[in-house]
Amino acid sequence: MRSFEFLAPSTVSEACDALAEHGSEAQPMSGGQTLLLQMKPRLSAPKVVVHIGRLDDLRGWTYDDGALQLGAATPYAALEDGTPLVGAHELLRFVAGNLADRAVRNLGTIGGAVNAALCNYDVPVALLALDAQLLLRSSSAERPLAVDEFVLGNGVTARRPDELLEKLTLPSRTGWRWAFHKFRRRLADAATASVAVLVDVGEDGTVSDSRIVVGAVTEQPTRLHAVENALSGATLSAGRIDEIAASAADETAPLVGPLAACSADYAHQLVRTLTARALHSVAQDSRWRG
Amino acid sequence: MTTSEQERTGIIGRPLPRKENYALLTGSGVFVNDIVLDGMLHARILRSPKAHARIVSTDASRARELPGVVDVLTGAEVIGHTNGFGGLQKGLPFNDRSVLAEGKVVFDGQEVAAVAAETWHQAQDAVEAIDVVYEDLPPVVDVEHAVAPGAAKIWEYAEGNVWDTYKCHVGDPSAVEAPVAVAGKFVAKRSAAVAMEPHGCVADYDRRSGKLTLFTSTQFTHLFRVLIADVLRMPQQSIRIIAPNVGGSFGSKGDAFPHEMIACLLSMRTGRPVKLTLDRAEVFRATGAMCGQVTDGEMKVDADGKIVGYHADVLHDTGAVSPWGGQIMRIGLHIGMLPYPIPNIQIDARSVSTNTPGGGPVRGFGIPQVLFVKEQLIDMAAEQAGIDPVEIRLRNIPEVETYETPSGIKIDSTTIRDCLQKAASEIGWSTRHADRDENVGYGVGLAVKYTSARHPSIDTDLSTVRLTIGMDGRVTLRSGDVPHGQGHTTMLSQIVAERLGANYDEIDVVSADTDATPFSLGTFGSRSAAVLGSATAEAADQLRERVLAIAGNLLGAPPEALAVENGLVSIPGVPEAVVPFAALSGTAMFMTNSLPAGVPTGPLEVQATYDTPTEREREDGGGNWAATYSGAAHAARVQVDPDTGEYRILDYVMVHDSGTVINPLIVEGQHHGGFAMGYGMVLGESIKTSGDGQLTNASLATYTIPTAHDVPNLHRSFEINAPSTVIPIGAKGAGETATGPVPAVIANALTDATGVRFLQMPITAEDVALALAEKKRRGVDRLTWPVTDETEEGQR
Repeated sequence: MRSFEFLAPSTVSEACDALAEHGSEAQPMSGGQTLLLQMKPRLSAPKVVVHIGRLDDLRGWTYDDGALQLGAATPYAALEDGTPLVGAHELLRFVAGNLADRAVRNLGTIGGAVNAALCNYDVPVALLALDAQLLLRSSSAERPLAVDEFVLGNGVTARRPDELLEKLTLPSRTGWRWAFHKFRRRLADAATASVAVLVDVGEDGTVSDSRIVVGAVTEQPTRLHAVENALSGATLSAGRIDEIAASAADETAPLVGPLAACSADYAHQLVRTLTARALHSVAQDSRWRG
Repeated sequence: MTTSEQERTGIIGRPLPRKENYALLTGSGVFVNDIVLDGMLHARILRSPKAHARIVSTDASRARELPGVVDVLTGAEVIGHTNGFGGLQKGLPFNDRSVLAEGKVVFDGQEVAAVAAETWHQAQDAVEAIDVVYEDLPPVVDVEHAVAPGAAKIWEYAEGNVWDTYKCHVGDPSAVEAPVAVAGKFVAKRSAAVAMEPHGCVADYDRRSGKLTLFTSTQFTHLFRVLIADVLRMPQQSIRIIAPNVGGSFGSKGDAFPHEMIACLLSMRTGRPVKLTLDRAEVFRATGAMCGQVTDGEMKVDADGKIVGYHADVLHDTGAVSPWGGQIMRIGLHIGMLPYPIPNIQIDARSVSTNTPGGGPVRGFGIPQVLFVKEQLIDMAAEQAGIDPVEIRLRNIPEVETYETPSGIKIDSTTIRDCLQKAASEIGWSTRHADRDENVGYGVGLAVKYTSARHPSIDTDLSTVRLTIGMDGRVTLRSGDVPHGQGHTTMLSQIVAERLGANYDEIDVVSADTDATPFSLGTFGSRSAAVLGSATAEAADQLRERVLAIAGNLLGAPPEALAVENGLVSIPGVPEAVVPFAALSGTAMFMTNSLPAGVPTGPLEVQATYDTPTEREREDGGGNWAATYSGAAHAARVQVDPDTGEYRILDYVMVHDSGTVINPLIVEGQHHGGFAMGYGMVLGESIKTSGDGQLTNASLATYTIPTAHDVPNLHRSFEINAPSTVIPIGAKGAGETATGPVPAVIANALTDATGVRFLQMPITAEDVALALAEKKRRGVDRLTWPVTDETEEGQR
């Protein structure tokens, strides 16, 4: 670690002012579960750390006309311990309660995970599947972005140095079925591969709308549009699921090279397996969780 | 625990909680990084980012000017003022270690320069301000490439990068006609020891006395002092080495490292104490991993299932610097053939340098790599011969407790047949295929491992202790060995309590301090209970004789009429006839007129050495290099998820022959830990290097050791112990026996579950999933993984 100045603003606007003042020399930090790990070996060395993790305005969530309004500095554990969310928003709560270990979940936050934007993080995958809108705030303006407009690559985001991620808005997904499946080497490891599935199944048992997102094996969370199109109007029969899962693997272009957690062949196999498992779980309409 | 242990009445064999636990569990145990001395500086090392490069220039001028910097070491300050090292340990006339890289670097992480500063951060800042210009040399990363024609040469002395060879030629396997011959090219990748406490030291040079004290996390002190004196060109008596509590090692601290020399030099140059603790990435990069092996192996079996020939060509990857690599190669390959008395053996092995982290000892010392080959070849032969895997092993183990193999290994006692039968019965071997679930498989494997073994260049394998009864009657044992988790204080207290008759709670053990203990080799090779324990028993017996003589004179009774228990000597049945140890000690020191003739005046103290009887390497590569051999038979039931390739252990049985067990709790703990390390080797532990030789997983986030979640319940652990007939105390050592068989057992179980024979260790979930997909694609019942080009072509 290098020495740095630690600022603890008491309001969001003070935090924005601090970011405006220090620009790219500053880093906002909420739970610090990614940033600190990068700072310790000096991979990241901000001169100023702006701590936003204790700002009440950035924590907690409300429902507004069916849409979930979630403060960016809400810790995973708050969701994990909270009451169930509405409809397929439960996907996010499931993901938040099932990553890393409890010590990390006590401090790590939803906004922190999106800001870290590491390809093997689960939260960006879930948020993309849930069509989350992110609200970025600076001292002079606010800017809404979709998840795939914000996450530009592995660890790369569209956040400007003077902006902080304030809140997330998830549109209503009442009645949608959801599943999240991931593969990880050890219990508290980040994912080797992950798949989030949301489907809206009509009265006739056919899929009317869906989101299929793969994570970890790709540079950033990736929606599989062709698979979603193929799902449209389909019934979730076992045979059909296997076909769709195979096409999900085909549509996935895995990361290769030293950063990749596994070979492309294995990534394909994991995507096929996890997609099939996710679709099988949403096909059973009693419970739809991972 | 066996019945024989339960029936013991003495304190040896009792499952006493460790005396060490209180300090360790309450956090009051002192480790090297806890040491803070007045005026202490902090040091950091600049390490090479290149695996193979010439050093063109080093410029530390910026670093010297930074705040807090007290001293900077570069090649200019070190080269010519210190000696190289490594050769003495190898038993070979060349050194591969230097305090700082001399002229070129040979692995990613090698020491290039160092800084001592007032704070850790200042030292780190200064290290980053040292400018080094490198000129790239071709990196030699892969062991097969290293020996190929045209490969770059890493060391001048190593033609074709081969720095040592080992041949074991007993009989002639190529001349044997056998109905069953199985072969494969096996690869053991390199897992690391990953001790919880990183390597580190504090050096404290006193300019007035010229005395250098080094507190370090190590496995040996006395031999280490010899090495360090030579490197620093100092008299040995001016150096004191102390190992405080050591937070694990598993072989990885059984070496002298440049960081220890650097700390000493910085302290000598500044006149101030210097702390140097490696971070986790440095531990991975600079202290190395186990030796890799690529083995072309073949086994021949006759119609009765008898192994009649074994042939292996081995490339033994020792990384760039390797103190013990040649010995690991020899001991692993020779003793790894046990328990089978194979009549025809041809092993040709080469120790090969690569531009990768040093290859050294990791729990098992070359045995796991070899068992991964041999115990799989036996299963392959069993399948081809149509013989049950347990049955074929039984047919190859002599039905006697004592035998000598054609390669010269003398088994003094073993229950390995019983261990195997017990393991098979506990796992449900005979009915295993009757109604098993899908994707479930069973495997067995054996290990018979040496207990301690001699170094190829010296004749001894000894431990020495000094045992004293103090004026207050408390007993102090001074041991030159270095406990680092083995529970020496507990184990040795049990021996002293029983053999001397001392009170268990009034025995102190002083270890790992060259100024306070007699010479011993150190702690490694599962040697403590057997070698150190026997030295302790001998010392206790000698002291007891003196105690009885003095007490007999005081009580007016012959020694044989006396009893010694709990630090009291008494005449049984005579209530007032009791003398405490304190009185005997006082008599010997102050009331010497009351001493019987022949008993020396002075402290009640004896020194004893035990040296195991072992042989040097025979001309044919064989010989009895260890005094006794412990045994392990393991059996597993595993379940595979064919879609993800994940596998998990449903049931695991361990049956061990550890000889006389001094403390069953400690032995069981060793078996559990030994299992976990072996399981890590097969499950996914291996250091990974890029094509340029950079270590790409030098952190605990990316180097995946098994966690509590991965390790199964190990409650099914049994002992069938035959005391050693060679080792006086009967112990055979337990520190490594449980590691060796695990990778082979899991591999055999995976084959049973999947039909795929895995020739590469570790066997990752990815391997299993891709192998199963390939097997399905080919529509075959049996597949060997990884698929080689030849087999691929055959399918096309």
